[in-house]
Amino acid sequence: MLIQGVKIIDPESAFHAQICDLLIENGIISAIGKPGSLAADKEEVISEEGLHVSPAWVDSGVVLADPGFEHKEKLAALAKAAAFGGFGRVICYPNTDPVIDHAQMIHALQQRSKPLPIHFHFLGTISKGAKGKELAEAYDMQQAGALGFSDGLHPLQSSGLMLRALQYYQAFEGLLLSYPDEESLSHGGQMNESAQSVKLGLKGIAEIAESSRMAEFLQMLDYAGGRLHVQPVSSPLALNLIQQFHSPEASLTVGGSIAHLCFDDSVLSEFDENFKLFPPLRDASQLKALQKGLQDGLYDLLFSGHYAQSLEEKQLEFARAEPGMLMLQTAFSIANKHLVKSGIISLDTLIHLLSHGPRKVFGLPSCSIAVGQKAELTLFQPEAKWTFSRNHLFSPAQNSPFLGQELEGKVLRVIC
Amino acid sequence: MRHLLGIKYISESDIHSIFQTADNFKDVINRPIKKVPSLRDTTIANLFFENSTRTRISFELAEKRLSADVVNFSASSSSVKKGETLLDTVNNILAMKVDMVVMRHPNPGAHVFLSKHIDAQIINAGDGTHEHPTQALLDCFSLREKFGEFKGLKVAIVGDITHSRVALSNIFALQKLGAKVRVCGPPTLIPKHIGSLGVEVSYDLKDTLRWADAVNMLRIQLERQDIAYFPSLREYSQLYGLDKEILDSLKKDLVILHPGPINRGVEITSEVADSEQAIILDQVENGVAVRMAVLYLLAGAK
Repeated sequence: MLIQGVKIIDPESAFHAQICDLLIENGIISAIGKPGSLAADKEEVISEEGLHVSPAWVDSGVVLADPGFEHKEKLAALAKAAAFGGFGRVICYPNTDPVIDHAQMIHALQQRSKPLPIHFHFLGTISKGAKGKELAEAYDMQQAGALGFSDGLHPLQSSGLMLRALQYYQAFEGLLLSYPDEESLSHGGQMNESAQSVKLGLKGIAEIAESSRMAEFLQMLDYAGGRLHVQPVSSPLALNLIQQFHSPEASLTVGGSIAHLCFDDSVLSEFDENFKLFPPLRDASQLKALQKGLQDGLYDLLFSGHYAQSLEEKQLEFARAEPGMLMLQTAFSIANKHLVKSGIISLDTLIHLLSHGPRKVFGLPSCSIAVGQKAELTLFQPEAKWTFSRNHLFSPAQNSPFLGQELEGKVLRVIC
Repeated sequence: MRHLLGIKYISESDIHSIFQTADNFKDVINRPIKKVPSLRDTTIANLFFENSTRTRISFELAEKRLSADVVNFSASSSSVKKGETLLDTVNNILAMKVDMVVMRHPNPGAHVFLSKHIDAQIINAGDGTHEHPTQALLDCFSLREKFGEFKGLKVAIVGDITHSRVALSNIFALQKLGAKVRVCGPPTLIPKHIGSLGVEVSYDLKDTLRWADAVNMLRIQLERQDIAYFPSLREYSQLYGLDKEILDSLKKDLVILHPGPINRGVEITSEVADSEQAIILDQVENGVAVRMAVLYLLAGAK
């Protein structure tokens, strides 16, 4: 395969920011040359206006619905959505039914995902059944391929469990992942507590539900050591705590949800249930502070937070609708428009946070655009416009607020 | 106005035209023959997914006095308990050729949700902790009878502000009409960000009553509180209950409203509720006229 006149976006490559021709043979990058320097007599030649290439993107925050909730999205549909959105790898939360709390589940899912067009990775649960009580067999799951441990949609509540997990995982350098949530403060909340929640009469979740737990997370991490990845961080107060945190024994990384860094809760003014998320979208001033944190380099990676919901779970009154939105297909376009085009971060930074960022946090092999490297690439056109339509849905789920909208920034394909 | 989803979605001039129309209907309902043919051949479904006595009867009387055909539905006798979705329930009823829906529903935004999916006109008779627009309209209509105009009028709303759709709709309506609003209640029942609406906030009942020209004493709605926001009704009453002693100490003609039903002895004592200064029964009478006006204007806007 020959890719002609493509701009390389990869700060770790010698060809970064250059327009080149790229030759791929047997899944390996076999030659990189000046435009027109490589013979174009190949079986497949890709040549598109404004084409960019980067190491394939990795999404570290995908809610897996299969097994257990196949009516929302099957594994194969998730793979198609990810490939469409430019993601060569996805890291799935363990909240399937049954939950991923033992090694056999990981083996089984690896078998099922092997023939699919992208690479799947899985998190194991911290606790048996994700019930927040007893530790699950983390070492066994890590041996089977688990990239980290999280109770996912049921954020850690027990300080005791968290302490034991942070300590125990150090025996095998396991990674603990959680959203910081204080359930006694967030319980029953429908959206962010703000001027908007007052106007809508919806029960708000105060930012301190996240930041107070964040403070506890950091104290635990400082005390116990170990590796903690917090995602998403959607509270400026929590970001401040992270910024001040220094602990020689511990490793702290931070993930940002694209939706939470692009939208504020004014999008809920007409009770649009597709923007109902947990944690909730913050208000305009909080969003600005989060974007400042993104500019200051406080986030190690960005993820989509893709969470398919069927019509039965979403086409309901706001209070009854389940949280979550389809995001894999549109993650890049949304971030491109709201973060890059609006001048918050550069395209280079966005691509770093989607490619090298998650690989580093989750210990995946590094991947760079150089001769002799495995071709694991995302081809995209930041200036191309396209309309997100039903043709781009691969499961019965339709829970995207962007359906029917013209978006800017298109993925041509992912090679992995 | 195609629907009445909330006071938030209508303008000051909409409110004034509702009041002017209600003036006429108030005359009508005080005549020996209380019925007019305005809504003949219009079918209205009253869908009550939450218990209600006075609002439902008030709407039903308003509809019947306009000669509409009326069907009633209440959640207790319905398919809701069998797990049917709101959209299915309403679509089934609309398939029987209903022109207008008057709905009360426990979930905030239920009417906005419905308006995106159905063609019929929708009147909000209360959606959870969001809005109760006809209550705010009848409260303001009653204040207008007492005070004539709203510019500079000071109205206090006392009680559980967090869980009250009456409070929110009243704030929007009073502000659109030019009145000043202060909310007062236990700090646990006043939203942290309520000030963003431009209202004053106080935790002191006496001070609030000294400030106010009129006060709307909300009912404490224990059914809407998932956890205990104050220790006991006794203590609530000690801090925020309105009794004769406080009223006399003010030495002024404070006008007292209450959306009903009253918890006598909790937010308001019987002596106060039955006093000259309380216009609680005027509110109920005006409710029918105001709802007739809303139905009439919406039918005309179709």
